[in-house]
Amino acid sequence: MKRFLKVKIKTLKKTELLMKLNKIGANIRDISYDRDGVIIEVLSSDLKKIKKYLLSYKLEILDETGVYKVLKNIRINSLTVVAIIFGLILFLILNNLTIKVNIVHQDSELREIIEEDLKKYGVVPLSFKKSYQEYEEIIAKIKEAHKDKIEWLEIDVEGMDVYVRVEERIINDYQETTGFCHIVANKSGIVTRVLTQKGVALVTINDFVNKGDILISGEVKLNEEVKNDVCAAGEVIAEVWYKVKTSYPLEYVDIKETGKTRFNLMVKSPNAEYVILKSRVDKKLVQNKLLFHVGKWEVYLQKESEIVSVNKRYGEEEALNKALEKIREKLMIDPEKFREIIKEKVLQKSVNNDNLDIDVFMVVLEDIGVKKNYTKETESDTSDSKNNGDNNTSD
Amino acid sequence: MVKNLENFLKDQDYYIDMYKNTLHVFNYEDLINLTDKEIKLKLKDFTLEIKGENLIVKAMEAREILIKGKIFEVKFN
Repeated sequence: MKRFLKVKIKTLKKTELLMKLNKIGANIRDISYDRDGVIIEVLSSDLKKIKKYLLSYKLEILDETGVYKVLKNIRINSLTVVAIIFGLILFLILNNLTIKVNIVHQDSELREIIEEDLKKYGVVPLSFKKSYQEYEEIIAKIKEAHKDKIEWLEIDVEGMDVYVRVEERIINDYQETTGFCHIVANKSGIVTRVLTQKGVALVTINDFVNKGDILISGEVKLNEEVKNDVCAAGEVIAEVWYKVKTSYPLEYVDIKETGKTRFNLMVKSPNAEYVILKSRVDKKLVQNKLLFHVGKWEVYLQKESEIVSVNKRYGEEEALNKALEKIREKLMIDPEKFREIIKEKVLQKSVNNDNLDIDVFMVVLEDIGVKKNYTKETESDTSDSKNNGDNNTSD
Repeated sequence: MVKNLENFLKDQDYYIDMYKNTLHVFNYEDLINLTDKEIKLKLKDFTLEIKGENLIVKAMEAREILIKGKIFEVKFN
């Protein structure tokens, strides 16, 4: 790009100067005449020529022209320009930043569930706002994940706050009353508590019941005659005895953080992940924090914590406790049925191939009742069978 | 640039554009005389004499010149 400079050449013999400029072949774009000289716009390369050949003239560079003038002004006002650019960036950042996420619902449990999900999708305080389309996708995902809990969900951006408005789904938990059923024991045990909601309890506290015994009957009888049939409901808590055998390894790998951390940047595309800096940590735990995203590309701040793994060995007592913990967890698999462990006794323990093998006796309180449907015998069925029976006898 | 290209394509030796109080000469060879009343330019085969009042050179490059002022007379000698 040609660089033209605005130069003032002091002289009273202006035409003579122009003749001389013409002679040396200077390219002059704009000439204006001043009281004591001529102001010209001349190519920087020609200015060197003028300085070389027109030694007797006094030259004064007044200004730059065109793009160079703009650049010069920027240089002079660099502080202002930097402040404006910084201000604009700050404005853009603040304009796109979420300061607070408000979940509007009175149920704290539901609020926590939604908060967790929003965290998963990057809607957290001090994160960048998302587009309408992305919020719609997040809404759809959260609603899909909690079909039974959320009726309606809306995300509104108001200034720097994000408001998440939720309507809880209320499911009327009416039990099916069609058909008739008994509550029968699915395990053997000693009954400790009976709670009957529907039907007639056939067992009392301290009764020993076997698997398959009817605990609460759906047949409502009066004087040995079935007056009504219902689907029995209620719970029967019983002491159930278990003899459990389990094995637990004595050796384990202990992972510890050394305290050495490194930060890295990770770019995640829909198909792959790219780590910007080379990782200098061999074994590490990685935590990712979403910084911002551009379309489907996401940029994460990656915290790498160095770890060391050491092979360790449990003491026998420690391994026993771990094994018991494992058994307890297994027994609590069905939290609706399980109540509490009231007794546990290690019957036998032995170490085989670096494993602790134990036999444990456990007494557990749990709801042993399960529903079992039955069909009601109609009166015509009864009379038919009676008639058939009479016929058979006569035959 | 455009003028150069046009000149090259049309193979013109020179051209002179005249507007109100402005004269643009392309492909002049030399500036012979320059005063506020008279400007003389040497072109390939002749001398161009411009007479007027308050004549000034507004722009001047190696091959072209722009003259402004009250132009009374343009002569080809």
